[in-house]
Amino acid sequence: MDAISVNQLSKYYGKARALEEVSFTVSEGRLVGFLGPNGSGKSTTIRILLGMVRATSGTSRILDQDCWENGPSLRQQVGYVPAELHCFIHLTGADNLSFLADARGVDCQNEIDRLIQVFQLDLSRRVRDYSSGMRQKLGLIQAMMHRPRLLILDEPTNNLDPLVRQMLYGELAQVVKRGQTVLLSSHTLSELESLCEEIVILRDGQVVDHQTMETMRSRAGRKITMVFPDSEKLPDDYPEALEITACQGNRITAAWNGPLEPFLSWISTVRIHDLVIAPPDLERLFLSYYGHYQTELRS
Amino acid sequence: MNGALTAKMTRDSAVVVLMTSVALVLFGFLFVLAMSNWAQDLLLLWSKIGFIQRMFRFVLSIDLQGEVTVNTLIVSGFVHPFLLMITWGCIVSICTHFIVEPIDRGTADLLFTLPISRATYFVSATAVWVSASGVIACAALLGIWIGGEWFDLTPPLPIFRLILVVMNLWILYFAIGCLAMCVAALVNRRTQAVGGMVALLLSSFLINVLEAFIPFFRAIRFLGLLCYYRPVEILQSGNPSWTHIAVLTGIAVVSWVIGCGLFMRKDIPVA
Repeated sequence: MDAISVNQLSKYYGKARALEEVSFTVSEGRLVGFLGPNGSGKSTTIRILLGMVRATSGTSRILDQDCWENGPSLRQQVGYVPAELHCFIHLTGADNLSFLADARGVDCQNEIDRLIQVFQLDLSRRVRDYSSGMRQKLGLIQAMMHRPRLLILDEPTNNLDPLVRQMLYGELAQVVKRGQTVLLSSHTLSELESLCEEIVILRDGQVVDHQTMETMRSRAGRKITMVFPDSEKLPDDYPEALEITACQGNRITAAWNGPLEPFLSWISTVRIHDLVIAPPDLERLFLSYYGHYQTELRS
Repeated sequence: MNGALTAKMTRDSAVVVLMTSVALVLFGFLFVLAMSNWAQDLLLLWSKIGFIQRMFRFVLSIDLQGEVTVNTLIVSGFVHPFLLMITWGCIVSICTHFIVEPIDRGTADLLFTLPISRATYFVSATAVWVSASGVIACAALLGIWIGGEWFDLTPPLPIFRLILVVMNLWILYFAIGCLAMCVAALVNRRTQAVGGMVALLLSSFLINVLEAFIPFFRAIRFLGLLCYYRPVEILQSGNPSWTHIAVLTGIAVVSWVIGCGLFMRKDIPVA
């Protein structure tokens, strides 16, 4: 069963377009990245999935149920961390969690206790006295405490220090191992690259790509540095796919797109002093999706 | 209704309801004190001023030329601007707090992603503020009753008729609260909701006052909510005006249904 199924989803605010015919699916038990620059439509899609915003057209389903029609019963199985979390600041952290658990009608004290240990959060203080990082931890705990089948995280690492980020990544790995699904929205590629199995890329309210990380990596160019024994005797029959970017004496720097086998076959036929093949450069690949966006930003 | 949500809303509104109730009890008590001591002098003074007579005749339905007792003047406390101001303020504050403040402050992202329908949320909020308005209306009566007992008024205050007055007052609150919920469901900022309600209630109050002096306002008096709240008439006749009650209830029901519909369908924006 698909945990999320979005089909031809559009949302307009008056004449302003937020989403245009967005379609994608997320299978159960997967950790899927939702990548896009600010204003690309990630949060609008998430708000439609949570029943907070009505789509202008198209369908959105979670666990095979319509997000708007079956919102309340669906949300029992969904946990959500908003990009900017606003808790009830006059209550303590414990009272916030207690109210949210009671409103859900579930007893999740054991899980709360476990998550407090993981994230090291003091629940006895009022939320108004929390730092932004502590508030974010509270948001993560409230989203995970009822062990939802689907966890939607909208830029969850905002305000978290690197140590807590690692704790969150570890926790998310456990969540997926238990069979839960995670939709992780971010505008930071490195975060998604290390965690996600597949990735949905949004730009200007449209899905521009939806691939597994494996496919993404195979598409991404690798930086290759070759050092030949003699600058006078450099090879003259380079493979077509090898894009030479710099040549300094006997050192050649190049970019390689696609599977490595053809390159390795070729390199085995030449004499070489040193060879460095860097991991796929996803950053460049993703930036290529936002070329038009970057041009606009620069202008 | 959701128990946890209702309990939280009750806790959130408890302080403002308690403070308003204490203020109303004190106000009622002091108003009885003032009237029991100076009613005759005040009546003598006011009966000589045409402006005051006209205003009393229209706003309170009291004819200062006719037979006016201390009790009649005490009941006029139920339309005293102070009472109206703090009770209306309390109700508008509670209703907008429940409906639009979560959107304004961003806690909607937590509240409306709970497994609770918006209709359930709206009903829970209604139950809490309707109970709160009942407490407030009773507090207004309690202050006047304590004052009546304390100062041993002659003739004694007609408690049954005062209860009828409070019933009419509570239905007025019901209409105001439902209108406030409707306005709050329409906007995304609490200041807009409060501003809209202040404009609406102030207009209603001004229509009620100005109708005594300007014929135009007499023609449109039916537009003001206070047209359907006449405590002195109830005191004098011993019967509430069922037409007034029906109109106020109608306003309440229509605005509640519209407000609930708007609230269920509205997009919750990012704060």
